Amino acid sequence: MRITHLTKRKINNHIELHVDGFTIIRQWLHQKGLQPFPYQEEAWRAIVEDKSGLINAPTGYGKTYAVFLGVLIQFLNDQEKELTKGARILWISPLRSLAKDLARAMQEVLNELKIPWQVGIRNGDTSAAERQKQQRRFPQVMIVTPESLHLLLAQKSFPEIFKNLKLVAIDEWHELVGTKRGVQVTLALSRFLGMKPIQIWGISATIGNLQEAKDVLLYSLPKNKKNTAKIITTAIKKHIEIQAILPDEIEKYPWAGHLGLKLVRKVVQIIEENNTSLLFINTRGMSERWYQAILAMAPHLAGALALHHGSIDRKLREWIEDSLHTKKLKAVVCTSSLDLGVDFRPVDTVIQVGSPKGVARFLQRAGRSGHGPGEKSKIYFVPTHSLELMEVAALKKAIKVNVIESPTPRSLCFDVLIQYLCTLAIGIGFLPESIFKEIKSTYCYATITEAEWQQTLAQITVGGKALREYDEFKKIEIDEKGLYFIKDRMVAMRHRMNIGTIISDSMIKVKLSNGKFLGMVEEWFISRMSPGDVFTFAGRNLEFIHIKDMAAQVKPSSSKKSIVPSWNGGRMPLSANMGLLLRETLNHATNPLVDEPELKILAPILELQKKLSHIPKKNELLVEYIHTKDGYHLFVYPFEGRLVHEAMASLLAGRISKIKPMTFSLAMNDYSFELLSDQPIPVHEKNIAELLSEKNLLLDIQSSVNANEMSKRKFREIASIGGLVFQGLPGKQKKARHIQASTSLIFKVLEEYEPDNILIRQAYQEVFLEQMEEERLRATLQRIQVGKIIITTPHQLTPFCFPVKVDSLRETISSEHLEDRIRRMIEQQK
Amino acid sequence: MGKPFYIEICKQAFWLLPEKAVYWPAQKMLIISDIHLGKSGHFRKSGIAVPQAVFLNDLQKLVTLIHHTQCKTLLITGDFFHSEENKELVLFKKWLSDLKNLEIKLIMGNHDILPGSIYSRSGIECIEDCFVIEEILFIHDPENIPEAFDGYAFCGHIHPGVRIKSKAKQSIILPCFHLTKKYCILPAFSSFAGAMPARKTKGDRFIAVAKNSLIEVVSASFNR
Repeated sequence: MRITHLTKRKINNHIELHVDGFTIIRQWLHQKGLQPFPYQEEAWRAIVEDKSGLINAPTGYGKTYAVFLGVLIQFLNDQEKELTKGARILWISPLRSLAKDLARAMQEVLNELKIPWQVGIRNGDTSAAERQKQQRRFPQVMIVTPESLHLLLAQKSFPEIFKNLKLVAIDEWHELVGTKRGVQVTLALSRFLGMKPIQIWGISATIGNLQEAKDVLLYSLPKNKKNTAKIITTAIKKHIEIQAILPDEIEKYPWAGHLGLKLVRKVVQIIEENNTSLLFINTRGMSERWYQAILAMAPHLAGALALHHGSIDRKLREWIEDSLHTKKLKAVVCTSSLDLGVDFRPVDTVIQVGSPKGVARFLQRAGRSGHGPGEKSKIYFVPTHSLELMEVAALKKAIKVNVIESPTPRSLCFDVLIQYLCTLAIGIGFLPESIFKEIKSTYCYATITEAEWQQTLAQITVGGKALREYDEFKKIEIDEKGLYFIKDRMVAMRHRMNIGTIISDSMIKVKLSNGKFLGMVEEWFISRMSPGDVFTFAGRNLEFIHIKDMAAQVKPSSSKKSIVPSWNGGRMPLSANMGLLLRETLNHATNPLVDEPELKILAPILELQKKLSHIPKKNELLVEYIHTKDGYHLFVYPFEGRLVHEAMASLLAGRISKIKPMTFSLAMNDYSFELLSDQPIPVHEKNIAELLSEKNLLLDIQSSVNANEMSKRKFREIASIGGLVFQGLPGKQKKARHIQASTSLIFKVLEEYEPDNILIRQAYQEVFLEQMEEERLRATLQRIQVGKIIITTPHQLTPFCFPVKVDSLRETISSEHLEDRIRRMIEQQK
Repeated sequence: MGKPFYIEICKQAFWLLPEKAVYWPAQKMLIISDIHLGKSGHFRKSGIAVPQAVFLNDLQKLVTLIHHTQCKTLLITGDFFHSEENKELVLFKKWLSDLKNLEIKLIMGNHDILPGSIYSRSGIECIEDCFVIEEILFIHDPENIPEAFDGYAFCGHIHPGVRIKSKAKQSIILPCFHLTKKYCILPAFSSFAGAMPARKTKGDRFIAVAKNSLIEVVSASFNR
């Protein structure tokens, strides 16, 4: 974002910038001794020509200016005499923490150029006073999150506020395009376009499907505007250097696990050798442990080491971010909370602990160091178990051949649609015919049918199916002109508090007895604690006293023993690209000529795996059948990521139990999955290919009990977005308790009594398309069929099966009658 | 009606029923708890579209039970109506008028906030705290059983469930009858109610409701 990102280099005049605004901006830059990149000038021209598009450039190359200065040139060219009212530019950013820095930088430019515009921020952190001030005199440049934008749509004054809107910029679009927040953005865009023509500019890091990302964003634009829209990109490539931190003795390094703490000494060494380091850890729970472990190893770092994750108090997080800018910190242990956004100049080293799960994420993290143009990004990789070393080799290859993930855009999210319609209904209301046209113009709802639309409307007006005479369902009402609106103030209030698509567990504040607020922790974690228990939070050991006023009261503890909260969520599956790269890496891992240090050091483990079982070649699928005192294990190694494995596991379990009714417990991680049963599993060379065939795929998955379980889990998010449950009513009103039910309960009753409900259908749909990644699953099964399946029967657990056995998510699947199953479960206990 | 699970308490026979009810043949009394009628209506009134069929189904199940057992008395150990009055209550009253000879006793639960007059007009007898026949006490919340009481109590409020675990890390939660030495907690009759895994105490019995049958879960196989 800083002006210095524009390098000083020789002026080249090959672009003829024909109008005044350009000259002013170029002179202004010139005074600062700067020179724009060609891609920036290209973007400015496109903006001046009233086009829309998508901008793609590496971090640190002035993407923000590529849009913002273009808007200013446009303004200077138009030489408007009077200042128009309301927002002219809407800047949508997925991260609240970015807003402040962004606003400051924009305001600076405006002041220096003497453009009398104000920059405003509207998000969850904006105070009520500030919001009121904005309401009276709306800033010309407005920085919002997708959620706060929808809150603006819920205002009666919103057509007035956006009367003069000219351009909407969407920052970090690569982060949004595959999410429901992205759907929220495109719905808002369709609403603006329904009122007046606007320009849309996306800003995105490199992803595999930039073209598609652009199309999704600009889907609602009129055809001629879509045709002239383009992707503006730069040929500049960032140099990235990866170095694995290798254990001294691979034989002593754990085969499984997810912490990697054995390497803490080497990590401390790296921190000390460099100026400022960011240590990326995959989950919040693990980051707490790493923070403690580093301090235990290097007590002198106290004060210079900070912990940053999503549950920590915002003020503390802001302090950490400021201190990073001002070089006060030596290192920060963080989670994806620091993935995006502001560049911290002093950071020269990035350390990744555990698998980054995807190439794009890894590149982004690496890019946190050495931001300046021409500078090199350096990233260290700390494996949390020995097999993860293979991922280093795979990542190096990914960067060399430039493979990067493609986020899949969402389609037909009825939950988001229901929320959006209610949002409009609180504001100025809507007429179904005209709003339907707008909705259908977005990528997400392009294929919505008339029947689905009617069902959506029925859901919010009459509450699905009802016995008219005895029903009092009340949400959206329709007036005599056919306008849909929400009158009930309670319904409106609850809806406003519920706007958004990020669903978290119910959280509870953690406070010291003097009232100091430390952060938030999941309620279920606290509910399992007894007074006197000690837990680790925000880097300190705290003793739980009691719950008072919806906050967990704690006091500092000197106890050495403590529990670390394990936060849910944040577990990304391995991407398809990483999977393929891993299989390729494994393919040549045992080649004696291999020269990657990560693979060389793995040799003893691979040797053992080979001796006990087998190392699969690229075209092979390894299946291990092992009997231990826990029962009969079937390990399968497709290397396709946790989600595909989950689907494959339930598919295989379902098909096996057609041979013989039995119950399995399933476990999966990114490399493999496990079927565990208390009875022998009837799988052998003759039937395995058939059991893993693509034939009847959908039918077999649908009939597996697990589809129901998985949908139930998906439904948690859908029910919350679709307004069937409420979050964030802590102690608000007592009466609210009477209308709260768990999502699993609502799922149960809906499934039983209204199975064709659109939200239930969406839950199943999401499971098939997104959760099970149907397409990828199909491709995997096809790959297996043309390859070779190798079944081994090792007499003990192998190095490959350890990670899934230890660190995995578990489910149960059963084809037995519930009653039989329970009887047998009870039998076993006797 | 599913196959009953017979138990003997204070020398009296009781049938636990998989429909989540208890029948006391000697008194011709059907006992249910936590039916939460009107809950779906209450949700719907607030703009939450839960299916109204939940309510109809519970009502249907109750009437079927009444016909099958030919009971003289229906006793509800609390949480009969979920919240404030709504139109589902009107429908319930209509059903009630077809069951003229049935005596209905309601022990008030924490969700029963409707004024007593609404019940008495429909011929439902409201009981504030508890109700005793012979040595058997009926009460809503087991916490409130008088300490001095040395008979046996039937109660509700908790919505008990039992978690069954077994090999291969399998686990399942089922609604259940939770029997202790002093009292029996009934599962919630409503199908729009969850089940809370019960804390295990030595000597307790858990009779799980698995679809249409009842299965006793012995203590080794459950765990909180």
